[in-house]
Amino acid sequence: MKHGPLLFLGVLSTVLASWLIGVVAPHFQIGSEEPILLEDLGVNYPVDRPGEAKQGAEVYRAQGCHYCHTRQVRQEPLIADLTVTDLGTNAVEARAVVASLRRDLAGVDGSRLPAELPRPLLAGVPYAAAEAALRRLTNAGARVELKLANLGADIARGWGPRRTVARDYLRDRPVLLGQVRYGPDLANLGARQTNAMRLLLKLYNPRLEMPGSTMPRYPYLFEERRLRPGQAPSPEALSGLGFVPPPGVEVVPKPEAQQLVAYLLSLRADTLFYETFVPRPSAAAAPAGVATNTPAVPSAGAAASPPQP
Amino acid sequence: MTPESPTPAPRDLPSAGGVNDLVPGPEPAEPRVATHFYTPTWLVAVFGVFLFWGTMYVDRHGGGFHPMVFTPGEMLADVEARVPRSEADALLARGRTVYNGYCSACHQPNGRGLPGQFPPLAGSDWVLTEGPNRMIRIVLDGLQGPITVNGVEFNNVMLPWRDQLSNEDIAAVISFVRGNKDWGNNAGPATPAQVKAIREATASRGRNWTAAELLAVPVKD
Amino acid sequence: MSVPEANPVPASAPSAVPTRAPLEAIDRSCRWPVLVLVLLAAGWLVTGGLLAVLAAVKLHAPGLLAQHAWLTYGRVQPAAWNALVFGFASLAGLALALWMTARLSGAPLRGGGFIILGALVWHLGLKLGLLGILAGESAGLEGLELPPYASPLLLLGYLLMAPWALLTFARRVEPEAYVAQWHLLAALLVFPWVFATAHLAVVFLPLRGVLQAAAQAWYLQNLQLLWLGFLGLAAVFYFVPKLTGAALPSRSLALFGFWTLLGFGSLAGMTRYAGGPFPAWMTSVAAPAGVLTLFGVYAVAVNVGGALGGQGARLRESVVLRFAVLAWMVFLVVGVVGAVNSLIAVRRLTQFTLITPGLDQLTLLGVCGLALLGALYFMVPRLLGLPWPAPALARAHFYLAAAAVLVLGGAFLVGGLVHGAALNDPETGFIQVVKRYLPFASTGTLAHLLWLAGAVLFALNLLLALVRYFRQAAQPVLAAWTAAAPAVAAQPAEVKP
Repeated sequence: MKHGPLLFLGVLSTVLASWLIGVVAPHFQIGSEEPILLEDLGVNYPVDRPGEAKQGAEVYRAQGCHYCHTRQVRQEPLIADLTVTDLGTNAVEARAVVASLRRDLAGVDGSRLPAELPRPLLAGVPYAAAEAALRRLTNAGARVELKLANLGADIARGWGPRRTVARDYLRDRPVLLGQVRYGPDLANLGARQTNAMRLLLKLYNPRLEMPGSTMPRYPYLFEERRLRPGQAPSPEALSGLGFVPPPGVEVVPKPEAQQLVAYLLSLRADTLFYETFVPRPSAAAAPAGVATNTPAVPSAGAAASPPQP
Repeated sequence: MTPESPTPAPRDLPSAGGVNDLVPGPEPAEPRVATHFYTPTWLVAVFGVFLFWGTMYVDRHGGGFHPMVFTPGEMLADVEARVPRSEADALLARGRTVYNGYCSACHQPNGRGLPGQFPPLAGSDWVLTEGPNRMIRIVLDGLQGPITVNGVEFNNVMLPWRDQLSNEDIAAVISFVRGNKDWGNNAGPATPAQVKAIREATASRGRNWTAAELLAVPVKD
Repeated sequence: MSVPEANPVPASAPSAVPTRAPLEAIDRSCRWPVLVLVLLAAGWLVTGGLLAVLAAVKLHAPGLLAQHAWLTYGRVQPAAWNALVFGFASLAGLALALWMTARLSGAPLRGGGFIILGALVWHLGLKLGLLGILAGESAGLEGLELPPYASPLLLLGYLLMAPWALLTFARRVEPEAYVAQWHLLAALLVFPWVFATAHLAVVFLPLRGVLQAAAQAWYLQNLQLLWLGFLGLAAVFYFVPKLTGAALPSRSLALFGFWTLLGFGSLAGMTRYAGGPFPAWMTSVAAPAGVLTLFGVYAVAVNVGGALGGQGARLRESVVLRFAVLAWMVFLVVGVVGAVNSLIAVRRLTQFTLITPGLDQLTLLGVCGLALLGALYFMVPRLLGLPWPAPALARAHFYLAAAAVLVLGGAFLVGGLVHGAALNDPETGFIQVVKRYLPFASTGTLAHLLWLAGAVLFALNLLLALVRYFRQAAQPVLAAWTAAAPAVAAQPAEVKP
């Protein structure tokens, strides 16, 4: 085979392969995702943004906010610790389960348990394994405590109760995930901030809200209007956070600023559904007579009230 | 192709103190590539090792290529384990309610019974039979006398529930007990139709079963 | 009696084997198309450099010029990137590709008119695109910001220019292609497809949801490695053995490295979104692919290193060689850091930090920029037939550019680790994170200023060379005009430019 066509075919097939693997295969997997109906909440998730917020998405793109802010929350593979606090009335059974979970404790003299039980019994194990162990111990009558060891720094910072998944961005166009965090993550800004005036002030001059911030100012999203002597500022004029407009002037946000703030207030990714559930770790006790077979995690009804960030 | 020496002597260049490349004129010959050595075998071997490592990496972090697994290092089982148990199976939910209300006082919430008094249901050889026929009879008309469960003998009385529980309730609680994975039971369910058939077949019995009588009954039709 | 034959027998029998055209003829055939590209590239280099300085300043001085919407960081940053990538790097890269293909093929370049037309169409499209970005009409995703009215013009311009390189390659003298030619061909073939597909998938017929970002990650990786990176490598593979006089030691190793880089490099795009809202397998496939590119990097290291062995004196003499060698070293650094940075565990620390723009800028300026600048310094005298008017400026440019790349690389790579450590500590409030990374990010201003200074020197040199060229070309004409006027009876001298 001659040199040229061989090179051409080789390049073509390698880049085609990367296109198939990188874009086409995911498209077959998640490309036809539609907003799903969450029965508990009665909404199609993701919810379509109200009109002003949709226009705000265009303002977000036009100002290039995504060059400093990301809109993705990361999460680590869930790791949990399991601690046994009380062996319960059926100590033989419980010890048997403990021995099966920790071979090294199989020969421990029963009278020294549970004082001798290591805290935690299982440390740093995948959540699913810890939960299975919790069930077995609970069924054996023991009292156990399940603690999540990590959720990742993003969630620990309060940037969201859970990671962001593909479904969260179904209605976004373009999807501006962001690649660098010169500024904080915005995926759940609407859950952290509910005060529109505060956001407007931050856009006008970020140093008002956070001294030392390096976020750019956007004064061109606002206009200054002359006030007649004695005229009170209009309700939408900027005020608060120590902001003092020049004398005789009020600073009023332009429609673009209002739309942008509406968009920012609509940024949430905290609804829970199949692939995003984060367990609420709880202690499961099993005194006799009380049903111990209820799951240690909240039932489906809890989807209506997402856990606090 | 004969291997050439990798570093032939540089051509004579009109050296002008560092600017000869910036001046048009005689220039060195066009570049060449020699075949002084071929790709070493050790490099190909190491490459193979890395390829193998790469496949292991994808296996470990790829979540089984499932589109619902978003965190590398997790598997679908991890994602599913976090989904709150929605009691989708109405029969099991009903069975759980019936059990908690009628059975757990004696057989205990964890299905393990009380040693010396009430036999266990979790992992019991009387529960994990191929079919539920004996269990249905026990629930309908009760049991008394010695019975050996998992090699341990019990001698007590179980009350009949024929008049308290409907066919659906009995089918539900038996399905719940037989299929309760938390207890380690993984046997098949019972249907209300089965319960109805046995109820009618034993309508005239009116007294508790004994273990010996039950053992004469086939477990399934 | 022998009479000169009306049809003399040709000196050699007519054969199908074409002979290699002399270098001067090849350079002459390339002159105007390639010079137009070089001129446009130089203009975009200065423009892009200026925009990059502005963007870098705004990172730490946010109040500067804040009243102007078109100068806000979110518009100036993509404008700078597009100007440098599609203005400077792509146009200079096309110039290099056309010239080098002609040289390596031994055949003169044809289609000059189309190439010039294509360059102007591309230039117009980019100008429109940049004005659109500054006006807020960017299409959004990083790397795909060109508005929908601009990107088709770039593609059209490209299609007018690039096929001539392929046609010249088809008329080559030797059937076997040189290493640099492989890289050029790969780059020329990959670019239009990747560019068009990505714009279609994201801007014109957008995919649903995060798949846009997946297409963008694929596009950015292929653009950076297979277009910018390969153009730079082509220059390195051409100039290093040529100027040292030593051959590359191993063709089979070069082949191995080429296919490894191409095959695994193009798969490694999704590492850009590690931890992001994508199914886990996408990143898990990209990460080992990124690590496997190390083998291509190793091959480049050994091959070019073998041609460089013991050539310190030559390095001190030649500016072009210095540019090429520094570009090669930056490629090795970027290759190793990028490969390590592909691993998911490493990305836990470095994701969303300065390392991402750091590696991107090192590839653009360090690998592609330095190599192309060295190539331009070699090409222009041979195209014009004139030496550079101010070789001292060329040497100064090297030091400025080298300093810029080293400062940028050091600050952003180290700063990225600091940034990542701060981000991963939930106790550190975000304003503290800013205080930690800001010193490193601010150093970018210095780096871009150095780069801009070098760019200005280059543009100056180029302008002086052109002025000198036109003055030289005009001299005989002027002489003819001034000679003809007073001496009516005198014979006008034969003019030969």
